[in-house]
Amino acid sequence: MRIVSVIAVWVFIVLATLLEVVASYLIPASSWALRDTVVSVIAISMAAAVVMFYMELKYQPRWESLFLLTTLFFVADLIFIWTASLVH
Amino acid sequence: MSVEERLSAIEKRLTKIEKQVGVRPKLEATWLKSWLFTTDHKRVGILYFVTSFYFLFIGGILALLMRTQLAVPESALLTSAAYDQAVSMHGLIMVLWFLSPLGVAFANYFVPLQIGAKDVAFPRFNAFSYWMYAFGGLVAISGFFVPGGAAAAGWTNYAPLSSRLFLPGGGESLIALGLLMLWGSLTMGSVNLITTILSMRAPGMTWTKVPTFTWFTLVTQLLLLWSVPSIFSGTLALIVDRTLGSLFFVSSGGSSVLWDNMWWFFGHPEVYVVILPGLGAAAEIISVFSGRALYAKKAILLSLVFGMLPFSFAIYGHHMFLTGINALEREIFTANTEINTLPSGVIVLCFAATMIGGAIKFKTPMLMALASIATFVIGGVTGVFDSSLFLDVQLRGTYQVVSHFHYIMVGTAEFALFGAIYYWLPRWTGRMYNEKVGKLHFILSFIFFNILFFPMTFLLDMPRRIYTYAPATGWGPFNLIETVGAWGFGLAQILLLYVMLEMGWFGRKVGANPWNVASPEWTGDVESYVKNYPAVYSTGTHSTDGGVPAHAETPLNISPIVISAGLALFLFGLVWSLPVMLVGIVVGIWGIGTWFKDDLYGLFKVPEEPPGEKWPLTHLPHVKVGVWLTLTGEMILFAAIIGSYLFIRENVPIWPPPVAIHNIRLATFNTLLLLSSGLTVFLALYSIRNGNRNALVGWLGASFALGAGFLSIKIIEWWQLITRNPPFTIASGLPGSTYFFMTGIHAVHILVGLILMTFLITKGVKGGFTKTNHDAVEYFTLYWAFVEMVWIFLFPLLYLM
Repeated sequence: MRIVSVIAVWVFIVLATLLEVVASYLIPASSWALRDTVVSVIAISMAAAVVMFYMELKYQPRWESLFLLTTLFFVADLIFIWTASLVH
Repeated sequence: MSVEERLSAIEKRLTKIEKQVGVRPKLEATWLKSWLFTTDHKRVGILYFVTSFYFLFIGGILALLMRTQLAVPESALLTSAAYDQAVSMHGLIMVLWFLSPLGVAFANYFVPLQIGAKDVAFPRFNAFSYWMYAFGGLVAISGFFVPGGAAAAGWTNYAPLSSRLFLPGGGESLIALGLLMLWGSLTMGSVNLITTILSMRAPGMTWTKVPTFTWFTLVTQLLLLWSVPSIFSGTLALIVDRTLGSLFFVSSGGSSVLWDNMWWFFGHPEVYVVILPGLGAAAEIISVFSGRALYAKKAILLSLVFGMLPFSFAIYGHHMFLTGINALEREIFTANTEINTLPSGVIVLCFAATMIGGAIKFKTPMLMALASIATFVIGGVTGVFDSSLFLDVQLRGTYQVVSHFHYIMVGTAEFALFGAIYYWLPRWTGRMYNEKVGKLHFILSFIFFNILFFPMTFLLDMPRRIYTYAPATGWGPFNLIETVGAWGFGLAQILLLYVMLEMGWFGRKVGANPWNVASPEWTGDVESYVKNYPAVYSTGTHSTDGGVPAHAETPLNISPIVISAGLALFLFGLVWSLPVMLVGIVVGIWGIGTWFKDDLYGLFKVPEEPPGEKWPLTHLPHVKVGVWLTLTGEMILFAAIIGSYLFIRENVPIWPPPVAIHNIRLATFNTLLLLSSGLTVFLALYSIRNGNRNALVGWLGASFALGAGFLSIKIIEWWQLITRNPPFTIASGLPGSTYFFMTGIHAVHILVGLILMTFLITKGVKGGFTKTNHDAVEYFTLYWAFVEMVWIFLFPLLYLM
């Protein structure tokens, strides 16, 4: 992997963090759904960058992603069931 | 004298003796040391086996006390408090410290032999896993000897009953702490066994040839890997509730439903964890004693991997029908539970089909396996009734449910594992058991088991957690019969003990393969197994019998027992005695130091595994597989923590805006520090890949500074929050509880990272890493990136939303 890519990822996640903070201030609390969606999308894109580049999944055989993908299924299962538990 | 000089001196003396007498002397350990410090998979397996029976004895005594109390109406043998403790500790000990570990005992001993590996992937962690289990059990049962008695909130530790408000005694804290050690043990054990099966199979041992028991073990361990982190975080939250006054389970926002989710996300898969090793053994036994190959093995494995494994996480809510959970969820859980009977049905039908047309030999292992299947069917059928939302509302909390789950947990699991004992112990000891006594053991166990649990099916109106009842209820005769069954079932197990002791001392010596089995663990010289030499394997297409050089037993190591003992003392001391706690800290640090020293100087080495079958992870070293598996467990841990936070946020109508509490600028700056440390850690890896050792140490030093800076600012943040007016603390409300809990657990991960970095820097300074040998740096990069990734989610959740 080229070193430029890694530094570019760092620049991206730093800027994205600042963008998150700005977004949370700019979007009014009354539009919390929009604010949370924007912030969540930014956070997920940052996490994806870390996984792809710092954890190097982008450069590894695809089977290495198996650990992550299968676990994501159970993560989604857990979050969905728990958050829906008491919604009526 | 340094360690290297001492080793060099020992080496010179050994060489001198070798020149004088022509033979190189072996460094023999004493008998006691060879067991206490062992890291060999067979010895660890035997330790698990013996220890699990020790816990069976304790759990069994508690069961007999309970049954004797209930034998007649208005009995005064036990007080209500004593009964609560007996029923709670019986369940916890039997499920978590007897049944699951007995399966692990067989897995430890036989999985490496079945797949042709010399040992498990991480022998030292394997021993660590065992000692954490053993000491965790001692911490748990020590509750009987402290004021207030042992845990008494049921085996599920339901909140808020388990809170300090209702159970202020130390027993409940001790069970939580003992469980914490057990969760650590189970996670390490699962990473170890999964890595072993994925990455250490012998040449020719392709997936289709992997023996059924190993397949069942793989699924069992995957279930543990993905389920334990949920209850790990739940137990941590319970401990924090009890010790620091947080409000996870004693407030309406957190509530008992949060605990239910955390417990049953683990608890239901745990049912499969208990029964699958036994069913895997039963599959092999039925095949061997029917003289036929297992019918439709692929269908069984598909049911297992694509049915039971994912569905066990999607049906656990049937334990929560009465908690007021969402109506749609209840319907989904009902449907999923009923669908999940299909894979179970496939397995049972395939077992039955294996026997059709076979030359069945009704030896004791076969009888036990058949009993296991029969009780599985009975327990399964009663379970289908319980899965119905409408019936469950009526039957929940009655003895009908007790009957159902004992038919599964005791009948299916225990009979199958007893069958495994009779089946494999000849291989273990080189001797044959007494068949007549074995059959008598089976007959008495089966009869008394049914006398004990079948009448409970009809006690549809008797609550399961009462310690006495009035004569007018009419429950007396049923309970009397059940108590007779309990004593008969308990006493029948003396025969098992007799069989094992007689076999060990007087049993007829048998050849290498008394059952004439084709499975790999039966090949080779029987003496080599008894004397603990490596596996000699034959996979059908590729026999390496004799081709593998014998190696000495995997080396002894003192660290696993010392760290576990230190942790146990620390945890016990945390509840009861400051001096004991301090001793625990000293012992634990000594153990950890010894572990790192062994790594630093390469003092603990296991034989290199020859290249074998690793598909689909062909290019991955087995250590990296272990690291990835550990990270997947960590993912579930943080998913559970974040899931709890979302659950609470959803159920608390008013939540203070973060800007009113936190210093957002400081937190943002701190976040940037951590994100920058991710870059510097990667640059360290990049440097050593190019052979630049100085840059490696420099970048690691920079990472350490950034990580330590993050942690320091975090501590400043905590201090500012605690000292502000009004104080924002872990006990001041759910916002405080969740904030300190989540950032605290993340901070512990940072601290662990800093300790690991210290080790890497030390090794780097000593020249321990080269361009071609720097795996530890690569694995650390994965860990640190993960810790960074977690913060990427925690920061917006806690500071921006």
